[in-house]
Amino acid sequence: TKLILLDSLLQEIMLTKPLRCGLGRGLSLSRQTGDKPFRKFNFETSRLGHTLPASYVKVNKWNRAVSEAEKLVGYPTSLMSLRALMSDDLTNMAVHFRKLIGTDHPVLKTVKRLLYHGKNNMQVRGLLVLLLSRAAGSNGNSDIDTNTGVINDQRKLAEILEMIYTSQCIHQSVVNVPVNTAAEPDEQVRTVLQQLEYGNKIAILSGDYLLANACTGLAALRVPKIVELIAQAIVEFTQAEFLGKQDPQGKLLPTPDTILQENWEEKWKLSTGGLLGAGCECAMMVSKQPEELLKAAKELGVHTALAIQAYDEMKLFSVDGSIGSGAPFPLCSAPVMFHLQSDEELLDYLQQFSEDLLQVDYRMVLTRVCEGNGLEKTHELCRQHVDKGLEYLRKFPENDGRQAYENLLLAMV
Amino acid sequence: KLILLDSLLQETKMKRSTVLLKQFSSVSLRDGVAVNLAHSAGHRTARNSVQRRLVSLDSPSKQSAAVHPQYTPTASELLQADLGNMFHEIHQELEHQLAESSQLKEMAKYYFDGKGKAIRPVISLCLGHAYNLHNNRGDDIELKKKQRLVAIISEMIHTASLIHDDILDHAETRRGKPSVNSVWDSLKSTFCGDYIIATCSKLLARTNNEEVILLLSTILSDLVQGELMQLQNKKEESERFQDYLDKSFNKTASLMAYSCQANAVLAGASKDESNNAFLYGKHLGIAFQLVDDLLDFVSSADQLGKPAAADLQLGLATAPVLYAVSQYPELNDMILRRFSKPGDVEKAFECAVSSGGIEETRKLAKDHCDIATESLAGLKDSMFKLALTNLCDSVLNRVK
Repeated sequence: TKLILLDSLLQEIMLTKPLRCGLGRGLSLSRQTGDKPFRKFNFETSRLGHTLPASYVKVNKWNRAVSEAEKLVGYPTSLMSLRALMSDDLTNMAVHFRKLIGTDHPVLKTVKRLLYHGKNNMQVRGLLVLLLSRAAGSNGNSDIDTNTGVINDQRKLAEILEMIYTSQCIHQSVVNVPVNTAAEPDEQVRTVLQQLEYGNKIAILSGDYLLANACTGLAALRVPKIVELIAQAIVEFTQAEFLGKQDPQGKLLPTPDTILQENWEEKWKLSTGGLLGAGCECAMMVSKQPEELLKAAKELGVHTALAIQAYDEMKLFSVDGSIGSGAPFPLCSAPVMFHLQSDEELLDYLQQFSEDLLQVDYRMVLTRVCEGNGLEKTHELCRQHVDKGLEYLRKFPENDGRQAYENLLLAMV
Repeated sequence: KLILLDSLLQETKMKRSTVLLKQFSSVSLRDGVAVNLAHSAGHRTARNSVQRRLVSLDSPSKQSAAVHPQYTPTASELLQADLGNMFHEIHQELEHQLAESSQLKEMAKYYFDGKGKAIRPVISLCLGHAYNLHNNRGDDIELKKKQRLVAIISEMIHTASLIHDDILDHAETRRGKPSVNSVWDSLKSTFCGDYIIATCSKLLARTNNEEVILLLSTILSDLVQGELMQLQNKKEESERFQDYLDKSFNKTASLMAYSCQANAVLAGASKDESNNAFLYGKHLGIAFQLVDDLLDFVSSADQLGKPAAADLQLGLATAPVLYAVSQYPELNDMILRRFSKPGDVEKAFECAVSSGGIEETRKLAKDHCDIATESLAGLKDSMFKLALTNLCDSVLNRVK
């Protein structure tokens, strides 16, 4: 009954306030405990008129690569499969999430993105770790699932990684509300503020819940070094939240000294590279691989994460129709950043909005970025990291696991 | 007394301690001071004699109020040398890999200002020492280093949870100064809390002991569980009190219980022994929370450093109110609607005060303290064991 409740809640979330993202109709979630992949649906092709040809084909290429990978190493460890692990508490949380439906709290959007778009939104960290585990081989460890070639502790590690990433995303959707909302004189505003406060509560608690579960999961692996490496990754991504110039809502504003490629790389290395890198390295530790494979795994993870980030940012400008309608988008994303390197006027324009980035004329910024070479350079950036990743990947034995990982990397360029 | 103590020191240095100590036994010195001095004088015989003497003194509870009502807990004094530098080290740990300009530096250190009670590290470290002596490992320096690390971690976890709590409760002040989320903002504070927890995990890995890592990680789950439980009210009246006690365990006692158990495990305790350590921490922790809850009704705001009747304002029904329900059944509805109607908070406050709920809560706290003390019965006597017993009194008698 709990799972049914959860399912119905999820359906409710998906159907109200549909995403402005041009995604198709006919959504229906599997009512089973998540052993089947989601039914495929068609992306609408880009409505923007800005040209990035073959984006549709690319998306399908990616989807295909992911499906193949899943067949090799099992269903990806996205949040949907976690619900089987966390039934009780998740269904309790679900009741609270339900109260947020109809409010504008970003955490709902985050949860939708994570639950529903899963692999389409690049939520593949767990999958990548599983693939790498299969590629490297179990090295004599017998606690292995013979169908997938993955050691059970490696699978647990992959799930933990997903939990931590999810927690990070959910915490990022906390909204800055004034501390004393009760003092707000306007009743309507006060109600909205209090709703947002409530959303924050749910966001913080669910993020904490996931993080705590991840910590106990890590401890249960009984390898202190793994705890240390993953904890270091968490230290890094929390640090990354404080980098750069931000407006009062925590949105990033590019400044003259933060628009270089190295700034972008530094930030994303900390924010996502560290986690995937540590995850890959630790998976290799579980199968007691030699030192050089551990190092290779770590570098592979970092470059993969950076490639994914670049690819994701590129996609924002192509497939995602919401950007075309003037909706805000991250101003420190690679396409914008590259463009600003040669458009000082636009950079100056942006500086005046440091108190509220929602006031920026996003449509104008978008037009200018698409006219310039920002997207092209981002594509190049993605390729650079894919290539570096492939270099490290090729240190692993040649087999279907490695090939599947390669396909995922190649699907991005 | 000071003159007497002075001459004790001189005597111990000259190793003519035994005679003088016999004179001292009749003076009701607060244990820790004498022992600490003898300890620092470095004379083992003196220290042991003083210990023996003190153990046979009158029961501490009679002494505490009469002799030194304002006295800080003995355990604190005992551990002054060990923990005196704690906040400085925590600061170093939190900032060593942060960039100069990072806002995170300031935020992370904000609550580690030495103004809190810092009772948690004292509890677990004191217990660790008691178990060390019990297992004849009192001189193991490596062991003590690890136990100290556990103690520091427990304080850090506690403080990190305060940061998230303050956001969740939209608190404006804590410990007499603006809360971290009101000085900065909710989003940053959320990640600040996460940063501290992650740093704790790193430190935890350094103990290199799988069981200790497992025990302390469990605290994090319990803390979140406690918050989640607080979001919902059990409808069944009969379940309510147990639910409240479970919540108290998760939110407060869990940290003390597991850090105590961890230090016992490090000291080489057997399964039963480490379980006793767990029980000590658990019951002391529950007593601590009960006293906290009754202080919310009894103390005024400036003593506590945070607003009084805060629990009621947050919609939380704590022990004094739960006890009052039998006398004032109208409280039931108020509890279910979390005191949201105007006038609820005031009415509930009055009911709790006039029904004797506060005295009942105090009595329950005392019961838990007794269980805590009993859990340590099997330990060899030592100044640390004594300090742990006295700690129960200071928990019961505190005013903030």
